[in-house]
Amino acid sequence: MLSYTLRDLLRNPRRTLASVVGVALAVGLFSGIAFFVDSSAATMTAHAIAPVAIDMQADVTDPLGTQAAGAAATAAPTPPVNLAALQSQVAALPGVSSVDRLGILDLPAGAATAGTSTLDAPLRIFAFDPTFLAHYPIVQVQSGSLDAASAMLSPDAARALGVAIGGSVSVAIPGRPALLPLPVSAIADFSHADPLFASRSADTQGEFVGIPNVLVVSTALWDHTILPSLRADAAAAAPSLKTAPVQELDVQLDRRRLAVDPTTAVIRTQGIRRSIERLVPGQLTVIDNLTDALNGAKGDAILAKVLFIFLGLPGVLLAAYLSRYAGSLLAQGQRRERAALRARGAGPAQLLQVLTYNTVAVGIIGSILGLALGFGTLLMLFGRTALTTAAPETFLLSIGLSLAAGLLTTALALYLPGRRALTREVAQESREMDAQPAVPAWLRLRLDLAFLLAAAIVGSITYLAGGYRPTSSEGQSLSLSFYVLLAPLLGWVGATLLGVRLFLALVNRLPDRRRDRFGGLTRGTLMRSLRRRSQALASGMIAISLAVAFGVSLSLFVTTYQTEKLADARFTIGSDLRVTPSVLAAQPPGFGSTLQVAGVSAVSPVSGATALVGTDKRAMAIVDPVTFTRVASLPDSFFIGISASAALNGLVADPSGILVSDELARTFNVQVGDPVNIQLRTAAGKPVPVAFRAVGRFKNFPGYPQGIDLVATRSAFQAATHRTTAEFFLLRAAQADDASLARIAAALQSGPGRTVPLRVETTTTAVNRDQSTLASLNLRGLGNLESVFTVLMSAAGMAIFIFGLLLQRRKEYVTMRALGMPMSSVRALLLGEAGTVTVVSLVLGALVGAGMALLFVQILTPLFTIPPSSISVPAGELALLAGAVVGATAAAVLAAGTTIRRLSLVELLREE
Amino acid sequence: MSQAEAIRLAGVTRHYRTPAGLVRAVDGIDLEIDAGATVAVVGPSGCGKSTLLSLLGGLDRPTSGQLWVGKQNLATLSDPARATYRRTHVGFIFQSYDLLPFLTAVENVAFQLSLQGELDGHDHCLELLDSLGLGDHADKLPDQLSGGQRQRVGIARALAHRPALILADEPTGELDSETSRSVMDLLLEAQRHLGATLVVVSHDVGVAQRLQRVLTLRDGRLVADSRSDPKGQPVA
Repeated sequence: MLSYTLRDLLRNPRRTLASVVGVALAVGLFSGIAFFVDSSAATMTAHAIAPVAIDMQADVTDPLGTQAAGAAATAAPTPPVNLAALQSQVAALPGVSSVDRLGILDLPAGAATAGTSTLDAPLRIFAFDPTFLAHYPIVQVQSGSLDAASAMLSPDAARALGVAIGGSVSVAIPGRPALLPLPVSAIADFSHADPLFASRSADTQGEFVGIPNVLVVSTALWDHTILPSLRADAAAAAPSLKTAPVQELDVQLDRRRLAVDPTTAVIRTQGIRRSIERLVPGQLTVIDNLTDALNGAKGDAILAKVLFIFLGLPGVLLAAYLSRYAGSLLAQGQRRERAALRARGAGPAQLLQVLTYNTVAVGIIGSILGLALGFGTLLMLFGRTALTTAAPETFLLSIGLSLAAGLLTTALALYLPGRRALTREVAQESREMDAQPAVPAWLRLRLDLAFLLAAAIVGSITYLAGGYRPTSSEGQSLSLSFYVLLAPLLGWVGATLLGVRLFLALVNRLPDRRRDRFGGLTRGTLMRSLRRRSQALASGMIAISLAVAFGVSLSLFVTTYQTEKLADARFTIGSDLRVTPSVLAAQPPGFGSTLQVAGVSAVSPVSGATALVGTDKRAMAIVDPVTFTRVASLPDSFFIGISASAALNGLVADPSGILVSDELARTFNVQVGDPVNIQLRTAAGKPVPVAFRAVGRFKNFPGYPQGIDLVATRSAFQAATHRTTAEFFLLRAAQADDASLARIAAALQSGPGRTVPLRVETTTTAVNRDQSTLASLNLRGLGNLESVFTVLMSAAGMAIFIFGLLLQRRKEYVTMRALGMPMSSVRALLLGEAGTVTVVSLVLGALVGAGMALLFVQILTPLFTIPPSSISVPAGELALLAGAVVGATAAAVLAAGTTIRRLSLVELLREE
Repeated sequence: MSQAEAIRLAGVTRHYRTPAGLVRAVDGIDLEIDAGATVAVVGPSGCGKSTLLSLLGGLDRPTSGQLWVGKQNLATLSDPARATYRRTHVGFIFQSYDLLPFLTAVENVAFQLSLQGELDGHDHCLELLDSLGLGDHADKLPDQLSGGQRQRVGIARALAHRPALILADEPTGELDSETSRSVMDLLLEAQRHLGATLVVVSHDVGVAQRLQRVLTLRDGRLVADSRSDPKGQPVA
């Protein structure tokens, strides 16, 4: 029986191919999505931890050992932490790659002097060794080098003290009677060293405190000179040091050894943190930045998997349906063969055995081909990294699941219908073969309406339960109730079936051909065939419409998502690039014009200020309306009752004009034209009242994703406050692609960035910065992956439909040829039926797909800062999909025509 | 109406290659059939009767030899030319009727006319069906007709375009004896009316005896050729 099955598969290559193709596509898509999700989760982990500068900060809870000393007098003595020893112990822990000591001491204004100059601002002292600089490039040495006996200064401190390398500064250390003289050996830039300025205090942990004046000493100097003085000060009756110093170990983990899956990685990082804490119980507070980042990614990875699976599920279901469809087309031929086997004496057990072998063989062949297809597609779209990023065990699990899905699909598509057929009597079967095809079950049972009703119920319940509203979770992460995606899926099937039902009803209502006139050969035959057996086209129409609808919805949704993501990024940044000069460095006059590097088409300065409106403190943006309109995207939807250009023109025409947020306008009942009296502060901090006039209301303002209350002109603000420094600059690029933006960013850093340290953000970095939220999902990747399979499925669906038509109607075609019908007419007939299915499927698929895309966009609106106002249409992708269906139709019709031409008229006319 | 044409076969063979070896379905037949004659082809199963009919109908091409129908040598015709020959010269009647299932009885008949570009032959088709006793069934689909009725529609389709040659492959094979007799009556009457040449392949001796000439085949060869007078009495 096994050899019979194998021979049967080889003897009927077209039938075998049709059976296998659906399974292969289902497994290919399933495995492709599974591999992609594995890879995405791994990438998500890498992206989540990439911005973490310091993995863990182990802070000594009693940095001066004063509590230990106090405790020694009363209870069991707790020895102070020996940081050097602890450093070695932590470094020896598995998974730790480096450990560096860091000391921090904040001193008040006047603590540092150089010659006759005294620093009249607070000073921060850092203590670390040169290895710290190697491990943490956030501190960039501009000139000189750090050594054990000297000091390194920030440019601001050096400037304020009027000292350079080779000079000397003196620092007043609390507890030390004399000033501490330190030769200056290096100047370093701290403008990118935000983590060093983040608060370690439990109450304000992570809060950034910018201190421009920095002095760095070695840990040796810290241990032997500074710490003893501080201890002496702490032990004094009236200590002069108000803020305790920080003593910490900055721990860097071996990130390559972290699991790619964030959930597993978190377990490992938490284990390392606990190991560090256990070394000196109760004496360390470990700030675990890595676990915090991974926790965000962990939740997102799970949601991403769910979202990917839901977006991918229709494709898998579709491929399975295609497999079932192919199986049903082959059923007639297989029944005939089984009847022949019965006639030759084969019993039910043997027939069942043949069916089982056939199912297993098709399942295995289809699954292997599908896995190869999944691998191949992933390689083609994303390169080798897509397969090497995820852990091997994750991949093996995905392979196992894909194979199981393949066998399940085959069992559902081939085994169950075959087994059902076997239980029937031969006589009953032959009657069935002669009978007119029954009305399909979905049509009889009104499954289309049932699916649509279910979609409406699920959608309503989800809406009432708040499923369409975003749920804020930690940080910027967004949680989305995933079952909201069920409604579009049910709607997809229901609307497609309903569309086909309407087509059938429409065709049935078409007036019959004139009884007294047959009409042209092809036209007369085709119209009668279409009208009288339109149901025969329904299955093919459903399969192809579902595929097209899925492809269209995916293309529309992914393109809209990408467009809106970029719009969000532009809104967040304010333009293509945002350049923020370091607050630690002074901006020279005309600094803005130096930012006009190659590729930049416009620059606009923007500042922020706090304004007092009545007794409310309100945030105000100060813009130059003329240049701002050149750099920012200002959709009219941002403004209320006025267009964007009218609003900005209002500011140009009246420099004392002001734009007010809708919220502020409602709170203070401000109408356009009303005076708005606010209080600002001058550069010296002196309050100054300013009278503005409201010229417009807005809902959103570019560059301020968190919202802003007022937008005033730069000229009015400067006149009132004499504050001229811009907080940041918005730059419009001539070309806004990623590569051009990166080039501009590099040019800015190497040009004006040499004078004033700059933070350059682009729309690309804004998108990437969202890596810990769902908004950063690589839906484009998933879209590309599924588009490949949608095109394949649409084409395969069409080919299977035409092949099925040929199988079912070959006797008819042969009869027509025998009666003298020219081959061109036979082909035209075939093309007419296939073309009808193609056109209806494309139209129906486009309509249903657009509806699904609208629903998807609606559901995922919470992912966007600015709600999408319209659907973006990727004309090229849609044309490719339509082209694939039309091309497959043409190719399959040509192939079928050739097959019909080659069919032996004599043999087939003798059949039955 | 096409003019009845004489048929001439000279050394016609039709061989097939199968996994079991070479099959000589028709093996060197020399034969002449007069225009307007009625001929039965008989013989055991697999003797080459249907193959011979297929060759005469231009459904198949001889492996070797010459096959003339009127002035056309079917052995040398291209596929499109054979299709033209079939739709203009030949009326086929198949054992399993082979009606197009989505066309009504009258449309099946009209289909044959439309093959020749005749678009307004509806009345002619109805008359034909009426003459075959199917006037009340003209608008029925094939699966609403009995076997005998379907075969009569098949006959009507074969006659609709007034062919020069009517080829019937076991036309009564699936019918009871009474219906068979009725079908043969109709066929012979139509042949007389059209003056066409009629070749019938049959196992049924009763059917064969009603035709002027009976050709007996065995293993692809013509082993007997008997003629009868118009009353059915053998003359050679």
